[in-house]
Amino acid sequence: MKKFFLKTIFLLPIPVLLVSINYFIDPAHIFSSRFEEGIAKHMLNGMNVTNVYNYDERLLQKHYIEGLNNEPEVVVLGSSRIMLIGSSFFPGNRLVNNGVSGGQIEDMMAIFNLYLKKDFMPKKVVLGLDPWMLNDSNGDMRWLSLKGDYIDMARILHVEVPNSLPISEKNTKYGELVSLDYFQNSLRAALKFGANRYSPTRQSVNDGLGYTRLTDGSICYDKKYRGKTTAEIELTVNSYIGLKPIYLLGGFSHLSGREIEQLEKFIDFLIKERIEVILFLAPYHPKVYNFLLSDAQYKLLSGSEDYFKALAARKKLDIAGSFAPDKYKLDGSYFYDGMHFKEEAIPLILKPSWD
Amino acid sequence: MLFIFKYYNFFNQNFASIAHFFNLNYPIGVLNIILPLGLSFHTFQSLSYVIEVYRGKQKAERNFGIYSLYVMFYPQLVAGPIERPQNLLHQFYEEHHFDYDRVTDGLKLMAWGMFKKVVIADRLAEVVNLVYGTPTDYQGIPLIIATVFFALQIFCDFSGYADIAIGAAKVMGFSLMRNFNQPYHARSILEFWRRWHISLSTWFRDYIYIPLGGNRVTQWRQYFNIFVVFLISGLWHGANWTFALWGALHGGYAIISIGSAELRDRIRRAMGIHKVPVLQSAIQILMTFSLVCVGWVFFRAKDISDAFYIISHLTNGLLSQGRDLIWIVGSFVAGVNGITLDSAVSFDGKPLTTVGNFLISITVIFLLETVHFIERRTPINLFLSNRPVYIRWAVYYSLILSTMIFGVFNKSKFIYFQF
Repeated sequence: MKKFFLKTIFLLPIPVLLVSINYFIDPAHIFSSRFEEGIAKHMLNGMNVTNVYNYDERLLQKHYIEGLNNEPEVVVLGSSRIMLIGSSFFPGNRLVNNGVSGGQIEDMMAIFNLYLKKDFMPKKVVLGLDPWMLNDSNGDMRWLSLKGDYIDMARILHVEVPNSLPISEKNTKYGELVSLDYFQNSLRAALKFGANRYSPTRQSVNDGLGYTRLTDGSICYDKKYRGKTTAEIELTVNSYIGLKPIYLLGGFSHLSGREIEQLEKFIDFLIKERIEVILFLAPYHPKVYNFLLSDAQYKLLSGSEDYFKALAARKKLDIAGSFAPDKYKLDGSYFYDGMHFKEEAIPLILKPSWD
Repeated sequence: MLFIFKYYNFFNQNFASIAHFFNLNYPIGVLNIILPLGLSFHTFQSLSYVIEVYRGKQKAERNFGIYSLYVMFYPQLVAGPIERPQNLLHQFYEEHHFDYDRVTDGLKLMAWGMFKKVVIADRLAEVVNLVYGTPTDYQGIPLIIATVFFALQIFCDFSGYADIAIGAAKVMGFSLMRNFNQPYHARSILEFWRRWHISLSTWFRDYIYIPLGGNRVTQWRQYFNIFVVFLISGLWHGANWTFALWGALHGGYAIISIGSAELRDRIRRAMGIHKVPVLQSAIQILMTFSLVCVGWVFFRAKDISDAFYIISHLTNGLLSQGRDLIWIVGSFVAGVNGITLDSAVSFDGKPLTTVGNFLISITVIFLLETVHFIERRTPINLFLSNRPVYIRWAVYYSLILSTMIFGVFNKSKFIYFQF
């Protein structure tokens, strides 16, 4: 037994290497909290920031909104699928895009609470709605980064907050020290030495890794992502379809009553505050959309769209877009991947209701 | 119990379809029940106990705790090997002491099993899932690559689990039976089944084939026995017609293999192949592997129409696709045409994977075959223990680090967990 334990000491460098690489390379900046603050400062100083990837997008929103000096006129809330909506699509209006990857209704509530804390009240709020927002089995808990703000907003809206909310995702970060997935990401970041630092820039289209966050909070994909060939786009689309389950749509067996209640109370609050609310449904890539329609486990894709449309009609709200790309004659060339459309698609979608 | 949990809905659905076809009312609904983990495995292990006790070859176990441990012995609970009471039960009564060599052997086996699972099987799965998800998007080489990759994926997935299970049991002082013996090096279908999922094959042999009369019956009766055993084996793997067809296909292979043994021997002699044993073995191995791969198409396809589509389009466009593949790999190696590790490997304009992933897949397959080649002469443990300490430790470090670096984590479960 002694010999066994003595020999295992020779294997000790492996866990030490694992923890050290995860801690010191830290590609998602979960062990250093100043990363998001730094990006926000540059944006607030009127600079775009490039090479931004693997960071807490919710924390960025917090630092950004807290540092805003002027009240925005248009606020865009939602997921990465609306992140391309920038100021140029609302000329003459001060716009802020607060989209976060995998955005949930909880995210929208928490981010809006950040505005309330500053006594900022925009004139228009665009809510980018995704089908997974009504799926309480989607398992995405990234919104917990802004847990406190979510709870504050839930109280304002008189939405019941579960007693046993998990602790913030940030607090579970030490699990990442021994995560092999995180280890691989750390190595990838280390191999691209120097590229793992964000940098302020005047340009919007850049050559780095990740996308560029523009001063208004919207994003611009990097040159490589924008320049993908049709075959490369199709490869990402096929990989997306190959995911089991499809991103955030696993276990989507019913439209969540709780999420519906939160969304409707949030919208009622905005209307009461005399804010113009616009609902926006981002289309999926045609191949993805057809796949989702053909698979019975995703049948609530159209169910959720029907609900959003009925909601808009009931509350007399403007609604633009559809999960179905053919509604706007968008073929595969209008998409960067399975669920993110290109800038060229936006005027086609916005036109019907916002001109 | 197995029927209710696993087959009730399958047969019920088929009866409902028949009733629908004849416009009959069929009021029996489906059962929405969760399939217990590893049900097919521990049901067979329990059956093995009951049959052996009935036959008087095993004393009935009086200690319920020991019996439960036999049925639910956790290292092999979910995916085998399916143990026999004669091999396992007595081990629960033995005293186990720490044994350095046994524990380290067990840990090495577990590490190798983990490598096979997360580095090889899960990496190959990416291409397999893509192609078998929408097979009608492809023809020719992508279908061949995906099918060969699936053959290796299922082997590495299942034998990887078996290595982890056997290794874990070994660490604790228990010896489980070997479940795989380089099945893709088999020179005939019958040999393949002596090397693949050995614990299941011997289970069917001892408890179904022999009681049916085995080969001590007329030739036609023997063929019938073989066919029945393979058909049941197919259905054991899953309640779907694709599995039944897979089993029937292997039954057909086995019958033709027995029936044509003399003829094949005469052809070999007439062509003089028997004079070059290496060539003869290579042809036999390649033929067997190809037949097994055709079988895997039915095993992996979503439904029978997908399976027939794949089989009927395996050879379409091979020439132009071969040129595409040579152009991509050649350009990458020569560093021209802007082909990088992230570039897509496409056929007929349809992307299959990236150059990087394709090269890693080929490399790990080569590594697997190198280990198999060594094991044909010496068990890998013995081979390593005869090397100097710095080589041994370099191998251990390489194995662990490459698992950490190239492994695919958080993506898929073991395939055989579903059976």
